[in-house]
Parts: sequence; C-alpha cells; structure tokens
Amino acid sequence: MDSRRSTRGDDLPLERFVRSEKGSDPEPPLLTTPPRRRGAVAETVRTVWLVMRANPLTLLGFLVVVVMVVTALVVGLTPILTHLLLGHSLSATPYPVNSFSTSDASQGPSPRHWMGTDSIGTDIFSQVLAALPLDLVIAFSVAGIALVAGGTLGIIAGYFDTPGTLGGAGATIILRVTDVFLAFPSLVLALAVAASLGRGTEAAVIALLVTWWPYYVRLARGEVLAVRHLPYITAARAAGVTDGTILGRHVLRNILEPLVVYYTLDVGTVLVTFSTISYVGIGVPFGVPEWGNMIEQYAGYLATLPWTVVGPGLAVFVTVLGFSLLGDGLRDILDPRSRRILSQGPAVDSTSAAPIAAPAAGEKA
Amino acid sequence: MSAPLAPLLETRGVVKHFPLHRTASEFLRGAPARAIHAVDGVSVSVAAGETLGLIGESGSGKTTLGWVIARLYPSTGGQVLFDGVDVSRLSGVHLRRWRRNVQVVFQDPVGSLDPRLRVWQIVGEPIQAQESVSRSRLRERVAELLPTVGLPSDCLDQYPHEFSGGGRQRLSLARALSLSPRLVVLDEPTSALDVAVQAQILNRLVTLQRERGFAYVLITHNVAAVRFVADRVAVMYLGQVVEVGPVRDLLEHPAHPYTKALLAAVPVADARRRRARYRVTGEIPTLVRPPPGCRFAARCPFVIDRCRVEEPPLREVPGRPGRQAACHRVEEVGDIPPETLRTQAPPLPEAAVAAP
Repeated sequence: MDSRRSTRGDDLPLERFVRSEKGSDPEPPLLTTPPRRRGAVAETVRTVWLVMRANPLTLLGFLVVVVMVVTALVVGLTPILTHLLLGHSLSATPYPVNSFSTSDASQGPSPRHWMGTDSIGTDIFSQVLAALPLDLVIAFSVAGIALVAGGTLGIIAGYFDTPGTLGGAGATIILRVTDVFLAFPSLVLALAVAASLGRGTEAAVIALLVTWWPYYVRLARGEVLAVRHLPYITAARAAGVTDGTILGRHVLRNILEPLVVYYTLDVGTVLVTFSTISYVGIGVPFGVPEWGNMIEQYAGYLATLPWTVVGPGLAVFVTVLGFSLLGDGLRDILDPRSRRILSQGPAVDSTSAAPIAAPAAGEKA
Repeated sequence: MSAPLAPLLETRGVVKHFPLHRTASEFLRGAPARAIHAVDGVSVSVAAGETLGLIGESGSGKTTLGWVIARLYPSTGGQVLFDGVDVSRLSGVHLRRWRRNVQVVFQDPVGSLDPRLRVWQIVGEPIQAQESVSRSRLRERVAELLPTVGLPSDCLDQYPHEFSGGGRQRLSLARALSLSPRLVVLDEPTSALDVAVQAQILNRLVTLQRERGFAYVLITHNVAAVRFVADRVAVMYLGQVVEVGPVRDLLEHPAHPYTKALLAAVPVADARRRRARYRVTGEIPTLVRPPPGCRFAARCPFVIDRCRVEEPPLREVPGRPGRQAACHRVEEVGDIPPETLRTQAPPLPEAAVAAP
C-alpha cells in the first residue's frame, strides 16, 4: 500500500500538502460563523428583527396589512356579533352605509366626515370601510386559490416532466391548456367571463379565478425546473428518498419563497383587477360598497367633488402598497442566506459571502 | 492490489445513450432517433475496499459511468453487477433499499447541499430515508458521524452556507458515509477546491478507506489525486475504456497512445522540468455518430489503416501483468515513453513515427 503512496512526487505538488497536514499545521476554518445555540423560535424572532432593521418599510407594509385585516374583521363581524348578542345589528362604520342626509351633502373632508360626502350626503369613509372586508377576502382568496391550484399543477408539470413517460404526457397537457389561457390578455379574459356570467359578485370572482391560475403554473414550473436537477436533489434520490419526500422537503421548500412573494404582491393586483371589473360595471351589483364600484359611481363627480373618488382610490393604493412592501420583506425573511448577510453587515453576493465573512467571524470568537 | 476474485462491482459492456429529439425531417423520413453515445460498452470492476480511478478529459463519459453505477441513470444496455446482482433490473422498493450500498459525493459543494436545511437534516437524510429513526436519535448519529470527516459535532444546526468550500465537501462526504455504504462514487470530489483543501479531503478519504473498508470509484481529471488515492486506474476516451491497470505502473508506463497524451498534458510546476507538450492534433469526433474503428484514430500519431476500420478490444499489455489496453499496436508503441513523444512543435505524426 505504501509503495504506491511514495511515488516520486516530481509532478505532485499535492504530496507536499498531504505531508504538511499530517503535521501540526492548522486547518483553515471550516465554519465561517460560530456554532449556533439559539432555539428555533428565538432565531425566527431575530431574523424578523434583522430584516425589519435592514428594511424598515417592511414594518410599514406589515403594519398596513395587519391594520387592514383587523379593521376588516371588526367591520365584517360587528353586525353579525351584535345581532347574535343584542338581537339587532350595529354597524362599526361611523355612519350607516347607504344612508344620506341632504344637510351634509357635497361636503369636503372634515373631522365629521373624514373623506367628505357625496352629492346626497352619504359618508365616503363609512362606505370605504364597509367595502374593506369584501375587497380583502376576495383578493386573498382569489390569489390563494390560484396559488394552490396553479402551483400544484406547475409542480407536477415541472417535476415529472420527463420525455416519454406518463408524467411527461401529463405535463404537456397541463402546459398546453395553460398556454390557451395565457394567450388572452388577463383583464380582457376576466371581463369577457364576467360579462358572459352576468352582473354579480360571484361572476366577478369566477372570472378572476379563471384568469389567475395559469400564471402560477408557469411560475411554479419554472422554479421547479431550476431546482430539479440540482445535485442535492440527485443526492436525495441516490440516498433512496421517495419522490413525495423530495417534493415536500427539497422542491417545495426551495420554490416556496418566490411563490409566496409573488402571492403577496399579487393580492394587490387581484384587488385592482376586481375593482376594474366593478368599475366597468359588470362586477359587484350597484349599491354594494366596493372600492371599484364607488370609483365608477363617483367618476362623474371627479371635477366637482374629487374626494368621493380619492377616498376609495386611496384605499386601493394603500392596500396594494402595504402588500408590496410586505412581500419584499418576506423574501428576505424566508431565505436563510440573506439572514446571514443582514446580520453581518453590508449586502454581499451570497456565493462570494463565505471568504469575505470569515475574518469577521474570527474577530467575534 | 491483487486481482480480485469476486469483484464488489462489475460492469459488463455498459452502454448509456442519451436520445436526442428528432428533427422534423428525420421524423418525416421515419429515421430512428439519434443519441449521444456517452458510455459505449464499458467493462470495469471494483473489489471491496479498493479504489478505481476513472480519468479522462471532459466529455469522456466518466461521470455518466459513475452515475450509471450509482443507478442515477438507467443504463441503455449491458449489466451492472453489484455483489452479483444486476442493478439495472432493480426498481421500486428493491432499488431504494439497494441504494444504501452505493452513495455519491458530487463535484459541486454548493449545489449538492440544500441551502434551506440544517446540517443534521442534510447529513441525516440518507439515514432517515432508509431507517425509521427518531429525531433525537438521528441528531445523535449525525453528531457521531461529523468528527469522522473532521467536522465539529456541535454544528448540527448550522446551514451549509456557513461552511467554507472544504467544510461543505466534508458535509457531502459525511452524508455519503452516513449509511456505511460499501461503494462510494466520488464524482470529482476535489475539483472545486483549492490545492491545500484538496489534499485534506483526499487524505481523509484514504484514512476512512483504511479504517472502514469502503470501495471508491474516483472520477477525476486530477492525475495527482488518482495517484494518491487509487489502486487501479481506468482511462476513458469518448465513452470507452482505452486502458486499465494498477495506478503506478499505468501512470509511469502508459501503453495506450491516448494515455500517453493525457499524461503528457498534465502541467508541471517545476520550471527545470518544463517540457514541450505532446500535442494531440485533430478534432474530437462527435459522440452522436462515433466513427468506426478506434475512436482515437483521428488524433493518434501511430494510426494505421486498420485502426480506422476495426475497433480494438481491451487486451493484455505484453509483459505488464494486470494491464489492459485497447490498441492494435500496443506491442509496438506500448513501450515508447511519453517523454520521447514531446516535440517542440507540430506536426506530430512524423516525429512520433521517427521516435522508435
């Protein structure tokens, strides 16, 4: 055995290093950060804090979304709860929705009417508030159903797409059907479906669902294709891990981040499209408080009573902005590599982070 | 080093083709789908506790052969016998159970570790896949395993990006060894690392082999690494083995013209020993339609007409026990030392013919 190890060594710079390692030369650091001893919860809290510190707008987005959701719950549940407890419904809005008083007509924003009143004296702020639960539930659920349905189809079409197999045939079918839906501009398709189903909230929701899922198929499939042939998936297969476990542990975890970020940003887009359908006049029935509906209703007053349009418009804007900011921050929180970057100073490319960060770790230790 | 009686792993004429998409005209003519002949009839064997080095330039099919051996690719033809069982016929549960016997260490120390999992999850994954263990027991076993590859056992909760390149490759190694496999396919395990770290990893591999009796298939283009770790070497060219033999004898007295060229191309650090390269001329033939005859014929300085027509089989090199080469003229050219083939300038064929 030893004879072959002691070859001449003439063209073997390697041997020198091999011998030196057997001596007392210290090995270069294998770990570039000191071992961690925090619990999982403490670490998550720390990560969230680090992201908030590095990107304070995330906090703003988070607060906007939380305030929106809490307000929506209060506004949506108060009439139901008070009906159960007191026998008659109370409204959480400052003024009853769809009530009017001619004495308050056409007033600008004031402490009495925060967003002013319209030409017959209906309080705009109360209407904007009353529309919040409907708009949020629809935005969350339409994007959510699209995420789950489209994402599942996309994962199947990505992971099992091997030419000449059953999975490959299934993937082809999924992708071609998706292409048909993607061939239409989304807003036009949604409007066409909504119009053909007749005016109504359900029609608008169905129209949005029909339009929305194909984008998630494409997104999820693309992400799966990017990770499917990575060596760690091959290594898992070589270890005898089943396809189901590989999908859950490696594929889903690594594609979830872009999907969740896209979902968060998408909630705002659904909201805008839903409002657009209502604005065009084929969505929510006339008189139901909904932001797009209100903008349509008051569009004629843009010159004389601008606050009637600004109120619901502002509501859409703030909601979409809140979700966008939250989505950006989520991307950082979900990626373990960015945590390290955030915790160790200025942003560096994750692939080149190791050697740069090494001295910093040494100083701390 | 002795010739094994019953090899742990034996491939018999293994073939791996990757089919290409047919073009429209081929489809209309009904022509059969063309394929890339990545591995074309390879027979090698590895004994228990032995290291077989696979060397060859990029595209020679080394990695494909390694993946076929680990059953990461199904083979197109031939047999892969592991302990006498044809692995290419296994499927389903049997295949998954068999996988604990053969594990792979990949070249890319970044891509081969899932960035979202912690050390105990990564290294423990094979154990989890093959045995039912509790979480705490799994963590214990991983903690016991880490020191054997030179990692501290208190880094169970780290993420892979917190390790240096050498540290990550040790994690890969720990994962591959977690099931105590009988054969480890090392797919260029050190080519992404700097020389000092390469030496540590190779040293660790040799130590582990001595202690625990793993058999290795070392796929690399690093001749020095092969010389240090391997017992026997197989040289691959365009999907075929052109020469096999004990490592020292083969590297010092290459018999096949391609091996001579490959070894002459290894760069030398010592300025006094700098030498002119043995330049191989000509293009590498396509793997889609391999030429008839010897695949090295187009570039070989010793080529004769017979080489372009008749494929040379692997046969014994006269006077060198345990050595085999696939060359019609091995008796004539086998003893020519590679040094004499190094000329100052091309054209080569004349100089090479003049040498003997």
